[in-house]
Amino acid sequence: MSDITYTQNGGSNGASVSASPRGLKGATPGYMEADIADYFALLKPRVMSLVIFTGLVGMMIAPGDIHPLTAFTALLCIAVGAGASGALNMWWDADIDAVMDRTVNRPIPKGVVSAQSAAAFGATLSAASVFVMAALVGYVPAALLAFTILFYVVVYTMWLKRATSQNIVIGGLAGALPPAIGWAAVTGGLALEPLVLVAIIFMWTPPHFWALALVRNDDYTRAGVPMLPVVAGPDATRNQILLYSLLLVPLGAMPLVLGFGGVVYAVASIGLGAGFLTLAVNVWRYRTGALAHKSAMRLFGFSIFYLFALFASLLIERMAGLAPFAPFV
Amino acid sequence: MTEDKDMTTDEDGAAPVTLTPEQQARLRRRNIAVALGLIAMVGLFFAMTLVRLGGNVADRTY
Repeated sequence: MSDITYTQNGGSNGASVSASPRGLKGATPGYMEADIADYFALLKPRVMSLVIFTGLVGMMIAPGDIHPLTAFTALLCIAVGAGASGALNMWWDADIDAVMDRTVNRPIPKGVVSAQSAAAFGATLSAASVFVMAALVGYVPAALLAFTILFYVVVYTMWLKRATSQNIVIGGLAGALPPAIGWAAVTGGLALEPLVLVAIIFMWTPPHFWALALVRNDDYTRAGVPMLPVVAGPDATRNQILLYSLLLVPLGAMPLVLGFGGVVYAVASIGLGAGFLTLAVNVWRYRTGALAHKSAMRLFGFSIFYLFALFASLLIERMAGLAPFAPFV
Repeated sequence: MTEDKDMTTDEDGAAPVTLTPEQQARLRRRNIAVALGLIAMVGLFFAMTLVRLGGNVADRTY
């Protein structure tokens, strides 16, 4: 809409980027343009799909049975809770989104959904997802889901993101928890196995995001977000990417050590780990020009495939009924 | 044509807002989506109640 103006006094002051008519009597507010697809976009569907998948894997590796409808309900709650967190994140960060190329077309900066509507939408879905999880699945998964939403929205979005270059390191815990929620939906508790999966995603998050941040450095600098490349510089970021990758790859082999990863997982974790390390070394080596840009984007793209394929190998083993490899158990 | 346009008020309740037919259609679609979501939640609670009760329904004592 061409007749939309923004008042960008948001973020830590209370995020109130709003679409409003430019003083025209009888003009139509931009948010009247919102269609179902715009509200769906608030849920960050791509992030949601990875969260659903990792939650499903946590559920599948858990011992014990779960009724298919209960499993569906748990995954639905995880998906809606994650989506609601995304909507609340877009509400709070609307001022940042409006000045970043990557996010300028999100529904709030585009002017099709008001910040207030996004906040109400996110808060309603957050409460509903936790309530339904508690009522129909269990209190432990509901508590974990509530913690995940609160951690992402309050600790990461409202506090860490604008305060420290370690924002995505600590905040990454929220995105890492879905396997634990899936496990808790089946067992009603927690164990070492889901926590290993949580640790893998937690360790995966920094190299994944920092690879993107290297490429989008100008975006983050303009928006004033203290991402590591903005604060410490690209070289320090490359060192950190390599360090976290060196920690991630052996951690990816932990399911083998603990005995819940089999032969398929062994092949996947070794092959994918080698690929991840190779690309991280390339990011560390090539520091200027097109090759540096290409290396960072390659690592970012591969990191998504890495996590998906690693968890898919566990899923395949469970679905195919393959016995765990368990060489050290 | 005023007949096929919806008149409502602005956020502050001051300026009247005229919705175009396309905006009315989008508003209707959003309302239908909310209604379907609520119906789906009721259906989910009903189905999960059946799952949780299971065979215990037949064993109940009057």
